[in-house]
Amino acid sequence: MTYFSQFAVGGQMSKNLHKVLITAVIGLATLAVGTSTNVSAEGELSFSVGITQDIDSLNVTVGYLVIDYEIWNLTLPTLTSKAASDFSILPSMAESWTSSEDGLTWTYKLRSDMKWSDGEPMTADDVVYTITRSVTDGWWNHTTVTGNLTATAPDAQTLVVTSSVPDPKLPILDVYIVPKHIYEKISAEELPNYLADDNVSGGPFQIVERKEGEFIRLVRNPNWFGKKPAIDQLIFRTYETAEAQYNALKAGDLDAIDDVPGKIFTAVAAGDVPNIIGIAGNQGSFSELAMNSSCPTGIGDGHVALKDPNVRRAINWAIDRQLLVDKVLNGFGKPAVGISASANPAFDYQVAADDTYSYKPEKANSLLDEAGWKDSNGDGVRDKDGVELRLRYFDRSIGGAADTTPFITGFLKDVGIATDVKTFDEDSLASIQSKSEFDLYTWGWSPYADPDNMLSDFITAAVPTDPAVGGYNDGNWCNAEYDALYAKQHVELDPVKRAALIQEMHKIFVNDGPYAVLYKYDNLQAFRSDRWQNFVRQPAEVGPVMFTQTSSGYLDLEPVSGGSGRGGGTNTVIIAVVAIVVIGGGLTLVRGRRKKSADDRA
Amino acid sequence: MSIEAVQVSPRQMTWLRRRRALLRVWRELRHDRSGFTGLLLLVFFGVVAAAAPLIADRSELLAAAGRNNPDLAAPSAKFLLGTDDIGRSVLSQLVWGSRVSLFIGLLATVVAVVIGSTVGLISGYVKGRVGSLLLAIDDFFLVVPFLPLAIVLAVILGRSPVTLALVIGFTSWAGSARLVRAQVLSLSERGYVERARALGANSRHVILRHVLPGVAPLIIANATLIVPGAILTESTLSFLGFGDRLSPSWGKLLDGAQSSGSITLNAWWYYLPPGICIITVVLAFTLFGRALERIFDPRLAGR
Repeated sequence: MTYFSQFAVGGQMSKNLHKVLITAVIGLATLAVGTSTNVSAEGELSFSVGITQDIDSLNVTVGYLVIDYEIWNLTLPTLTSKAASDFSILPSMAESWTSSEDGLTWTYKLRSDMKWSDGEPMTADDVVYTITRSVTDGWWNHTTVTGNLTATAPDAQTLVVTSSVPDPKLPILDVYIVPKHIYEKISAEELPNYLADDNVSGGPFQIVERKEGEFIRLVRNPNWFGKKPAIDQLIFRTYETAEAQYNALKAGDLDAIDDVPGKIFTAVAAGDVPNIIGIAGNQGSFSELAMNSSCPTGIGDGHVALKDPNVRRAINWAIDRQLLVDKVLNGFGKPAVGISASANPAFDYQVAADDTYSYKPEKANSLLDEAGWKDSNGDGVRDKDGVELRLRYFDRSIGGAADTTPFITGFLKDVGIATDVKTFDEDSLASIQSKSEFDLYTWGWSPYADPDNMLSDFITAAVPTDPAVGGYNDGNWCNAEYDALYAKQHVELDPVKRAALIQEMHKIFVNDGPYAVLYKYDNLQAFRSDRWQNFVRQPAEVGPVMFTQTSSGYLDLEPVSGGSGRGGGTNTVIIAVVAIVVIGGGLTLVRGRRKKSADDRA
Repeated sequence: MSIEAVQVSPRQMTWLRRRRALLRVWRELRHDRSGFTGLLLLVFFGVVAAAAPLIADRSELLAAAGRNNPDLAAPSAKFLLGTDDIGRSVLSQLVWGSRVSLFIGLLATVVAVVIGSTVGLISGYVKGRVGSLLLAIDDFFLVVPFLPLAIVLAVILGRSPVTLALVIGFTSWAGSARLVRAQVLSLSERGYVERARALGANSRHVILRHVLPGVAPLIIANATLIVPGAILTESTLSFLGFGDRLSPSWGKLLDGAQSSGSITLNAWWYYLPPGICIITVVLAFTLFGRALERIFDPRLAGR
């Protein structure tokens, strides 16, 4: 389910309509928020985070945006936790665990001092309830983990989880545990519409206030059983543009932001901006050009050329990934030829840097020649048996990969492949994908900690066969060898053997697969270093601090003693506002005057 | 030399009259300082757009063209207006962008004028159900918030320059339809129209032969005033990200400047030139259009 899971899916329509209101928003951002500092009137420590995405749903069975996951990380407990450094298992609700001889059954010992924020006890019953109900109701954020599990609670502090097949993901149970005493009152029919607005929390923070499209405010949950955070209050404020929120950070109205514009981040990372520290964190997010490989069991109308693995390879060779990283990512990322199966780079395709799909257009040309695609009529576009090598290229209206389109279409043109570019918002692209009615399209994924989910997207069973149902196999690709390896690693309990199987899968995917993976990109985050310190990255050294797989980044933050400092930086915002007002005003003026002369005559 | 050769045929007479009228317009325009300034500016932009291939090579527009150039570099001898966020010359894009912006502006105007004049002529001349239906459609397009409608259409129809022009034209004809209709209402009560009708001319003949020539100057003046709106709309749509991503218009330059953070980074060479170009062209068309209006409709003189 990684398809949407960690991804910024917003719907371009609404996003761009909002952009119309930039003037108002930037204005308000500079005026209204001007009073907030990190110390509130009661002397409580407040941490404000700027985000460019509004919450989709707080309901854990419905939401799918990065920000939704972040709120769940902060307000819902998990049975086990993941180490910030390498995602290894840590105690959380469970203090200890033992496995049966056959490895199918795990018995967890739970802490005895746990309470939900409303004072209700938190017990093994809540975990059993979450596992059982998520399977019965098919909660899509849960079932990839819980689908093969059953659970019982012999007593309040003992949990027994049994898997129907050997499950390498265990004993980590990477799902949010919901409060049974709240959820059991909601029927399966009502659940999709449940707003999760009772604000019962089992995590380090609890929600106290939310204004849709503006902010969500959380305070420390006094009943949280884990590490006590230094922050008393945590606020996520939604901004319409990344630049506006950056200026709010610079002005001191925010303590941290996610999604810094690349060019600005370059200045921040170089240390040119006082009191602001930039952290470029990678947790496996990557972008790709998907090629419709027209799996025989699938549906759709992919171009005949893309059925040939050699044509797909040629496209891979034609792309200058380093140029994309330099120009589109401003260097904050790295070229990649294989997918990231996990947020943990240990599961990436381990391949020597230069032996696969470096930028070699001449190699692409010879592969295409050999495949029989030649430019027989001299129009610069290859053809074969009267069919032109002209591909429909579906482009995403927002997101980093959108900026790659002018580059990639140029690379393809250089090797005689013509493209017809059409731009769609994410929702439309997703529905096109579920029909497999495309030749090429750009998309990106952010994987979970365990590689199983990401790898499962490319098995034959995930190929869309019914537009109403869809499927995650967005390259419409199938390979029996890959399927067999997937099934093997799915039940392989030896981590070393499993890692070797996954490398085999990578090799097949890179060599034969439906993707031209472009790059792994960094999450660009910035913080007020004059107020905060101890930014712990996940995974260690390479990852981001916020919007990770756990809430640890917030728990480890410490205030800088005696920190103060409010910078300037609103001047540029004012310039932007003036510029926009001038343009908008010009439009109104012309339209207004036209109207007036019409009235004069009538 | 036979006598017929000196005689002027009716057709020639018409052309003579038209030439004289054009000359009169030209004379008046030359003495209208603001209108003439507008015309000069338009000629300048027209020449730049036409000469784009001489000023900058088209290949400089390719995304990969900035491969070896610094990003967001300040103006220098090599890049007179600096580089954009992926290292391409801003000047080249500005010059080629003038083609896209002017093309969309003009084509959209043609679309708007054709629809607007047709609806205006028919709804003004034909009474009864057809007239009121057309008027109702016109009213609908007058009150529908125009930008959201344009955005929705742009999303549905796609983003090539031609479809953008169609979208803009389709959403901005309502005002000129009203204008034309008002003039037609007054013209159709005139004696010569009544006479034509009394002589048995059908509606089609009356509209095309007698009414249309009467409203033509108005349509022309109005058209020059629709162009700046269309150019601004194209810029707005491109700035909001609904433009054609692959052709360099001025609005797209502004969008690129905005989304790359060049305002915060004070990279003025990226956002000022397209902004100034848009404002100048819009101003030029408006000045020129106003002058034409004054010339064609002496009642406006002195207002």
